[in-house]
Amino acid sequence: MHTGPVEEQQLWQTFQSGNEDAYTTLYRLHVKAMYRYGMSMVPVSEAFVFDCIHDVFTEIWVKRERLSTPENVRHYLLKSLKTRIIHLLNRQEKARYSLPLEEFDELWSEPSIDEVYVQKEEAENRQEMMRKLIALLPHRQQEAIRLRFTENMDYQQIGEIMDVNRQSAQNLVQRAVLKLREWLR
Amino acid sequence: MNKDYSNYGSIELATDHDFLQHFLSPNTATEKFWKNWLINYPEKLAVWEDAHRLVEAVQLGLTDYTRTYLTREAEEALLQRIWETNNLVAQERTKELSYWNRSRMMAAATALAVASLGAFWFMKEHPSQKSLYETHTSSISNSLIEEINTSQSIKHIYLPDSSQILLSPSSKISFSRTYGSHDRNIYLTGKATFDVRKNPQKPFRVFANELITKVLGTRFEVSAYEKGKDVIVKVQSGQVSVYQEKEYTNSMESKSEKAGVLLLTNQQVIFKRQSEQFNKLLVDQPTLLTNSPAEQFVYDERPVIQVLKDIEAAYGVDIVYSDELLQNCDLTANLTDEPFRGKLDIICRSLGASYEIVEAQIIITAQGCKNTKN
Repeated sequence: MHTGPVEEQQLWQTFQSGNEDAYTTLYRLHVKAMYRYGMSMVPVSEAFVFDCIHDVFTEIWVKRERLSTPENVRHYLLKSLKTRIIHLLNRQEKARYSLPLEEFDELWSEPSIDEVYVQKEEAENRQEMMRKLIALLPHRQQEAIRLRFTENMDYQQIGEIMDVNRQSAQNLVQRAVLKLREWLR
Repeated sequence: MNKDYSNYGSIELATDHDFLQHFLSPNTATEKFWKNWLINYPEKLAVWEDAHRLVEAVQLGLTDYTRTYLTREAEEALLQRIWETNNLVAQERTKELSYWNRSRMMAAATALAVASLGAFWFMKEHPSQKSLYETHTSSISNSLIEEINTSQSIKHIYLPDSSQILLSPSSKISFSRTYGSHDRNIYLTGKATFDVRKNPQKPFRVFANELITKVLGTRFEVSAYEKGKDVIVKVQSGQVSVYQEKEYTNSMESKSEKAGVLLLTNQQVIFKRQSEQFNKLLVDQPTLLTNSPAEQFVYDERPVIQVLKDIEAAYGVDIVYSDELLQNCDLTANLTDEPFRGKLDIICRSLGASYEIVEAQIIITAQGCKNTKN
């Protein structure tokens, strides 16, 4: 993780006391991960992701005295960002995003052997091949492995962000890795 | 880590929290655990390696995601927007009438300057009471523009040349109405960050307590409270020179600059007002240079010396170490999201080494590594 949990919580408490430097430091420490995560959820609109990050930070500033200290600040901010994104999508863009995010996976059908083979053949290098194979996974499995392998969150935290329990979060990651290994053979 | 991994297959291992923790953010404890584990279960080596390859493959596939790139400009613009909202909310709350119009600010600045003239004339009657700030401002013409931040939040001030000042609470700055026509001088008491538009013909100078900070175009912070013991200048990008005002007034400018301190990005100087000593240090949280050659710090068995060179170039810092001791050491880690000190911590933990920061240099003390390859 980026900093020790104790330092992280001290920074958070300094921010809560109204310290602007601490608040700016929090922003700089986490904005890249928030942007990355936001863009993976709503890749069509960078401006929309910026709006949501803006809302998360301005809200914690206003409410700073009433907030509790999160165990993991990165996790707290990503979860707030996701809540904000889903809230705005549900409210503003009903027509375009009529399907609740969880139900996307119901529409997922396992790619055929041929499809996997074509993706593997078309890729120019191993990195592109892995990217294409990951793109064949159900969306929630993709989200889970991003949180696990890039953001280095534990399964409890992934579960909280994705609104499932710890075991289900671990299952999502395991199923993804299992599939990828099968396709790689 | 008291789990019994002896029945784990490669999938279980590749998705196990402690295994991944070691892979993604190793430290000496995890290093030791997995080394011992492989010694105790030599038959599991194949499974361990398979898990390792799987994690690497997944990471490789997520490279584009990891590299989703937020530009420095976008990061700054968003931060500014967040602060504008915060300040607006704060103003609405205190029901202040003087609403800070975000588009055109100079009219308001002039109004404040008029208000400050009264205080200026009053102070002139009592020269012994004058602070350094008042001495500065009274020595320039009457056409003074002064900004005072009495709020609880940072105040943005835009100068005519589109340089910017972020003025901290309980601080004030002033500048001449003719700012930019002959010179670019700013007088400060308190704390402010300056984002200076480049103009080599007209150096930008900040007069704060006994110090003058001179720049061509850069971003830096000056902290100089009237009653403070120290004056601190921190450089966020570019380079600045800092010298005592008496050096400046007593001699030609070119000469006086030699008596000062040159600061590069991520360096700061603390000036002890009592003893008149300069102390040059790294800032507490160095940030990547705007022209940093690297944004990503992902390493797979990379020689540590190369990693240290990357960090030197990315942050513009000096790292001192023994080439000989570190030549066989390598590192596998993703340091991209670590702040500067986090990166050093991880590298040092993996080496069983330690670091200290002396003046503006990082000194690494290490035992060295055995050559385990082949």
